[in-house]
Amino acid sequence: MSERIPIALIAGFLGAGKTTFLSHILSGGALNGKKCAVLVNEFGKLPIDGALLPKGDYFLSELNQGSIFCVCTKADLLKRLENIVADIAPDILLIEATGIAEPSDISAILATDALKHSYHPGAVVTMVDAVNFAKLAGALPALSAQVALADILLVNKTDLAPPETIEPLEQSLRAINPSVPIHRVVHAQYPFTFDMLANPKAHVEQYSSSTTNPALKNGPPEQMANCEIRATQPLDRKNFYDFLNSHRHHILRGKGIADFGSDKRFVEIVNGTVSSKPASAVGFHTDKGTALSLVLRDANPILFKRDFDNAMA
Amino acid sequence: MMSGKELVLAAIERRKVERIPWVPFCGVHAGKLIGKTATEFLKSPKCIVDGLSKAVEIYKPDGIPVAFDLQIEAETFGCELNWSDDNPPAVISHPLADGSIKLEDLQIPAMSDGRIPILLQATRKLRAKFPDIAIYGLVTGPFTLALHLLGTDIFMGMFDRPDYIHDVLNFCADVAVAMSKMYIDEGCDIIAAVDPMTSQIGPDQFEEFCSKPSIKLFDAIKARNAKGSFFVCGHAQNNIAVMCDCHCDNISVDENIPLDYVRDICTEKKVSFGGNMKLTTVILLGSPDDNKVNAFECMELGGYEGFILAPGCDLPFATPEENLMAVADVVHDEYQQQVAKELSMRSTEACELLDMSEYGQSDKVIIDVITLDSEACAPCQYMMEAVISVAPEFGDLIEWREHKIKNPESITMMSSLYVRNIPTICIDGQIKFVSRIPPREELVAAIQERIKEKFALRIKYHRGKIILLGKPEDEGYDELKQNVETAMKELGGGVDFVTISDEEEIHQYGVFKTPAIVTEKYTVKSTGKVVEKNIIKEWIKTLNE
Repeated sequence: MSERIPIALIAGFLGAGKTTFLSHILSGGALNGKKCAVLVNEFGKLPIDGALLPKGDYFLSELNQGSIFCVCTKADLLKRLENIVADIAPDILLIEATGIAEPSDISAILATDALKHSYHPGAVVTMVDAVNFAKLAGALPALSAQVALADILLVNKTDLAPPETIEPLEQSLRAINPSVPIHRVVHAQYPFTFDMLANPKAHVEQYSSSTTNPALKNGPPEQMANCEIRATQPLDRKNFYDFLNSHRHHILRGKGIADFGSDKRFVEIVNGTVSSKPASAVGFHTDKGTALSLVLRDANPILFKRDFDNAMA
Repeated sequence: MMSGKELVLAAIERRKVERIPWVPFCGVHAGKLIGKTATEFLKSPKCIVDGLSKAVEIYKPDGIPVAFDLQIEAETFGCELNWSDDNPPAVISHPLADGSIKLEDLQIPAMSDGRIPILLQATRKLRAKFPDIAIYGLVTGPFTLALHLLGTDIFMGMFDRPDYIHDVLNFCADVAVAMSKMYIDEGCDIIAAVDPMTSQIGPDQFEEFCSKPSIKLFDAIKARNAKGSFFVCGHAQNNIAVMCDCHCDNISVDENIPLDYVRDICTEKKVSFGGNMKLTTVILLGSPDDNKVNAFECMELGGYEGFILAPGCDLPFATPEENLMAVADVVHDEYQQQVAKELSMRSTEACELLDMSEYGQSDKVIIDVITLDSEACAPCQYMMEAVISVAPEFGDLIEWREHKIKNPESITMMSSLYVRNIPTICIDGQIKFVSRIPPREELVAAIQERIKEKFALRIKYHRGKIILLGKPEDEGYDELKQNVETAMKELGGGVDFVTISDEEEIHQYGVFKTPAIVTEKYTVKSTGKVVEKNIIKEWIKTLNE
């Protein structure tokens, strides 16, 4: 198997500092002579972002031409990623994701047969705008998704936000992603190295938070965990799907039986997307109620189960 | 028999239908069918008509959209477009954000503006050519149009100057009303308000900013005796209920929302619904069989009252034609539905947790490696390599298996082994190395330890029996019996001694001349519990070896 190209994803809402951050990476010493490709996928304002980046020895590719339909079809992204392997073959690919993208949408593309032998996921670096995050997060679901799937959070513009707001902001970020290292930064400056971007899981220590996080004292963050959820009473379908939807960033894979009373369904979850078929149609007859096996990402299975029980009660 | 158009309208009115209607959202993909680029297609009424005629011929739809292009209105306001060969154009400038125009100076588009005449002409021709197919006119939903005009300033604007955003959205609703009128006048049966960007906001913001403009639009559509469908895509699950409250007749969603969730809410709200075939993984990248299965599964969930089968959004330009033809087969042919059902069943394995309490009782030591996929995850790859590199040292004594959790059956295995982290190495069902690549010596030592344990267990659970066949009057019987008893005494037991004198029983051993000796070896495999069928199968296999 040839070397797969690591992809570092730079996520964050519009104006959080993604382009500035990318500029630092490209103009600083982080890449240490490595061959780098950059894919910019910003919504609705290209080619401005491309123009903002420093000149240098990297390959810039702009995606979607600013199309808003990055939310629907990923055909373009898929094609572009294939071209980057064939034409450039970089040591690393940096993607500046559209501010309204959910990182899991890109992960789903990387898992396709066409790309899985060419790339492997590197770090997800999420920029958080210290001034606006709290205001926007409740209204815009993508922001929480970007925090939930981050390997590292950079709280940017801390010089512009009232100092007393930073701690509550970090608490709200921890509520979304308890184990992620958080760093306060100004002008999106953070000393990344190539390896940290390419192999985030191997660099947990370098990532470790600049602020106190009791969760991290118990060793490296939980990455993937298995979780069984069960219920003997029939479930309310809406409650069940709402629960899966609100926890989708933590559910990598899952399958099992959901018992909705008269309708028992075989449910499968892949990258947060749920599909189902009648349990009887797949030869599964049960009177044991609901039983699902889930593979969780960055979530504590005990708390997850408790949330499930509470949501179904 | 009902025509396609009648089927679509019946479904939209939530009447029971004999066959589930099918509406492939052919936008620029219809251009590909006649060898035209997206740009050529969207700029020519002839191309639109020719492309969609081809789509009607090969996909046998019950309804079609005239053009899936959400830039038409924006273009008339001076939004700059970036054209592409295999995508609809993209809006790249936002006149209300860059100050090039003010809201009060914007005019509702006229029939002669921009590409509107192209669309209207195509609609007219398609209506005349396909009287029995439902024609959808697509208008840009108010929120998405506002986003074209304002760019992403709209998100901050919702907090910083909500009154202004309300005004922009109200104007966008007026635009959508005007566009709807033009399409209905040319013969469209259904107006689809396509508002994908509402998936970016939660239900509270939807109600505050989008409900009123959307209600205005759907009321206007109703007043003209047409049907109104609300299209959304993306992670919009939380907004379905508030969308239903916007006086629309139909909701159309993509695969990000479970169809039975949408069905239940829509049924309660007396709104019909449609969707939600998987656009990328199945329609674009899957096989015809994948498409059959996905179509069948959507149809099974959607049912015969109030459901329209459709892809989640505009079809990708490069969609393989055979995939949509396979969907058409399932829609029109009951036999193909049976085929799809069979395929659907085959693609799934039932998923009870395996009883692993007897796991690891085979003669070999089993090494299970649970990975995400060793080809796609570096730590998983190193862990697999570690196992594969020590395997030859143990020859036939061990057997290794990789369980990639991207396969559903591997998730069952992972759960059954109580593995919580990936990657993990289990030795005979016991978790040994978690998320850590063991050094070679450590892995070898762990395997050796298990082999020793197994050997000890084998001695403990393996029992033997020595059987003397014959009668005391047989010649040499007593002497033979004496020898066995002495031998057992000298070896210290662990073996049972049994004598059998019944002739019929003796013959069952295939013995006809006595005295004779038979030995039997047996293993206690389980006690006091019911053992899983699959595990018993494994035992039987080793008996036949």
